[in-house]
Amino acid sequence: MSAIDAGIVPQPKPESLAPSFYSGKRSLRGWLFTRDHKRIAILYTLSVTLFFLLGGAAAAMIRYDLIVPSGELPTEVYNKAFTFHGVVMVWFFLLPSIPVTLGNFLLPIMIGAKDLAFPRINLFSWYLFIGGGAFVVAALWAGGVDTGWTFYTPYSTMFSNTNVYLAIIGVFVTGFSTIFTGLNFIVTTHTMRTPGMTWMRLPLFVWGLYAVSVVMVLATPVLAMTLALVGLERVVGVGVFDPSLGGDPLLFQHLFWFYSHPAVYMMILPAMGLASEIISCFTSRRVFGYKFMTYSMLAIAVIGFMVWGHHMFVSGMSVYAAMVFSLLSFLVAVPSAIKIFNWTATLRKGDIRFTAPMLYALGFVGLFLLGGLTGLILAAPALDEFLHDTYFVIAHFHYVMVGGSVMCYLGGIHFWWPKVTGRMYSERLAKFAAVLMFVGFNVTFFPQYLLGYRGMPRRYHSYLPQFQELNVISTGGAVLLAISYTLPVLYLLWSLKYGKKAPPNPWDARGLEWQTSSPPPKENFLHPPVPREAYAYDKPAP
Amino acid sequence: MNATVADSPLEEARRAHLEEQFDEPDQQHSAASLGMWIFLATEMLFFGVLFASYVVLRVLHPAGFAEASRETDLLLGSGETAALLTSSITIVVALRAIKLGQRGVATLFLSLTAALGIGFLVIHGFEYHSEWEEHLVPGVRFLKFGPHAHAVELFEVMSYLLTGWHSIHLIIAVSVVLGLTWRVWRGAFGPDHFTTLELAALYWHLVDIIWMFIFPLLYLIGRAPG
Amino acid sequence: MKPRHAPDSRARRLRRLVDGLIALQALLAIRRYRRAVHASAGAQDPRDSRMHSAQTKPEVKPLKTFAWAWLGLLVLLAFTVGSAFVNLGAANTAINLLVSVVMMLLLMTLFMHESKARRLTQLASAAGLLWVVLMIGLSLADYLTRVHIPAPWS
Repeated sequence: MSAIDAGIVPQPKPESLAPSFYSGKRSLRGWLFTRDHKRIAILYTLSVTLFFLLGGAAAAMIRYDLIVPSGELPTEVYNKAFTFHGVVMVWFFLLPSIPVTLGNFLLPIMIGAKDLAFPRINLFSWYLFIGGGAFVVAALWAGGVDTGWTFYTPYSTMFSNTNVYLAIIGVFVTGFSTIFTGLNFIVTTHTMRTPGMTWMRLPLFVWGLYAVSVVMVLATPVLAMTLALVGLERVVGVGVFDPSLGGDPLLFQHLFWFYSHPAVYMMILPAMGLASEIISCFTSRRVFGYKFMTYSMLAIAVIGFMVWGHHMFVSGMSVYAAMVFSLLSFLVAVPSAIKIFNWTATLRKGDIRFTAPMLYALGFVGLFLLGGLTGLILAAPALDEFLHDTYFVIAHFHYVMVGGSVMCYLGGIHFWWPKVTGRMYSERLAKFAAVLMFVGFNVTFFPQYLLGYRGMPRRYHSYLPQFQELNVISTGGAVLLAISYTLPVLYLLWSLKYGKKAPPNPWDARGLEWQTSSPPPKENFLHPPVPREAYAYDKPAP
Repeated sequence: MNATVADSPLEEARRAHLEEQFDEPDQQHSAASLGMWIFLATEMLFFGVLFASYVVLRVLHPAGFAEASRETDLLLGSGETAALLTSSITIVVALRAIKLGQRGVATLFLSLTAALGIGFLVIHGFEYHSEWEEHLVPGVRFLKFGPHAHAVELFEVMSYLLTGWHSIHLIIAVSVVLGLTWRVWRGAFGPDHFTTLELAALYWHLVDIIWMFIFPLLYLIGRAPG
Repeated sequence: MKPRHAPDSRARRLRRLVDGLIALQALLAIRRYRRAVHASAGAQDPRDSRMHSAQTKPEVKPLKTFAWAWLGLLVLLAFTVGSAFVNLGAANTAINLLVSVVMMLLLMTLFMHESKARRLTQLASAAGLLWVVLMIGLSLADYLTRVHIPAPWS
């Protein structure tokens, strides 16, 4: 009979002597055939980082081209560069980044489980992810794709002579990886929680992962099937998307954005949960309005499905439908605003520690606010008429995705680095990188708001001379940004060998993951963890 | 967790099939059914794209869709529908038999289920064949004139996509059921261990349900006179 | 199978209460949440309360149910095919689809939601259907209100 059965709440003993999940099978086989969610998370982290570097290289090409008004690169190369940048960054970095790396590692630990509900499917998802990535890289190898990441018809079905098939197959295959990850997370959250871990005690990161999984599961099939239709159109040309044969190209846009708008929320929802973890830890306070945080995440997940038409205001869609979609788009801003208010309220009177993860999280709140507010401008059809397909849109979604999602991802990597690797990184370098990233990001993308407002269209390799100054500033910012992304790679790798050994709970955080050793043992917990209310920062750590 | 409560023989037997990440047989069973159901929800959306395309194209070309639908073979269509509906009942009878430990009955009804599924596919093969003869295969062998020729081709596209994607699912379902028939016959399942069978039945039902919606949309429009 | 309302499963029932339709019940959950917190803070480990009665086989439905369901499905099929030959305009398709929905619900309610996680599986199936309806419905919001430009041959 364990202590729990006897009704005594045990004091968790320091478990640093337990063999970590790194011990055990150390061979390559031991990693490639593992079913341990922690090892799979690390496999994912490595692959996601690789894709980030590839996508980043394409971004560098874009910024290099735009230094001079006539464009430094040939048109086709530029078109292929922005397509590759979009495809890789959306499907192989932003969408998977937080859920499959930090989410995979932390979800079972945060709810006190031994693993995900379906460990084999988890490993299979990784292979699908790699397989899909291989197709996309093959598309690049074979000469690239020039349709843009949106694969708009009829260009993608009738006119493009590039490797559309390979790219579509790559995205299709990766879609299944996303679906299986979402399925696994939902089932795990429902059935694997340790006794006492009620829904209202779940960390907000788990809520974020749950909400994002719902979106993944319900949206991704639509993308897969739509891209299959595009492929079929290319093969036989029967005219589902071809107006001259009775089809409708807007049908593609409807189906595509039914997936792709929720996909944007897939990128931001886990980041929102993650920011709550970091902010509450480094203010030593409960998250303000915990329940509203959970409801607003679910509301974003659901309403996010009903706003896709705001990508199509100038496409020839019915104006009445445009009004409905516009209204719904304004509606989805409400839960997002609630979250911003709640983070701010959490900071108020808090005992704020400006550590590196906290700097990233604060940067996220600010940049996401700016990205979200400009989203409202684009959700108004009258304004969108002018701003559609300009750099204003580019700036808007980079503020949300890069300023929001990527900042948070890096914040999370720093926050849980001691837990995952058992080592501490250099705090001073990390803070420097975080500040540099915030500055570099704004220097890169704020000028793009101005460019778009003045009318510079997206996806052209050349532009009018009056736009040059702002473009040069933006490229300069991109250099800063590149440095700030390289720095963490260097000092985090350094810490693996030379970093101080991390204690189980270096940040004095709550959450179950801090009750086990750093790095955790294979079963995650040697003693069953004792769940309490989430963010009990007013009580001493157990 | 060390369960100190005395387990019933059934519970004891179920525990033998417990995977390491779970604590309880009930937990494992719930996880499996919920996982299958979420997968079925994604399947609904896979087909949902095709249904949505069908609806949009039909809204754009009502007359052409009605004309094309009249040319489908309603007798064969109704026959295969009846076969599929029956198979959904035979598979749950098989599941019931396994829960009661009646291995022979389960094997019989599972084979019946697979046979009905194969029957459906064969009938559908005949339909594909006659469409090939009548030059109604869009994009490959299509020959039609008249005001609605393009719309008829679009109907045929949706018809091939819906039935084709459905047939692929049915082929998978039949193979799974055939495999399970073999394992049931060998005694791999019993009252304490039937989750796999239950999940296969769920999948089979979904394939059937999808057909319940494909059938009226492809075979039953434009039938009424006047 | 143990009775659904075994007196000893109080803690578990409370947990299930919280587990249920979180998304839909979210706004009403405040009071239940407090109760759940008290219950699981004070009570013993809920897993201990999983008592098992002495039985050797899971429960099954009588064969009659299967026969009636089969008959029902075939009658519905005959009805939907027959109705297609009566000219009712747009109502033809509506009736066909309604019959399909009834057939689907028949299968789902009788045979498909069998596990202990019944409410969750119901939620999953409802979400799948609802999202398909959402996709078609909001797309039609465009197509049904659009100004049509006829194709060249029409």
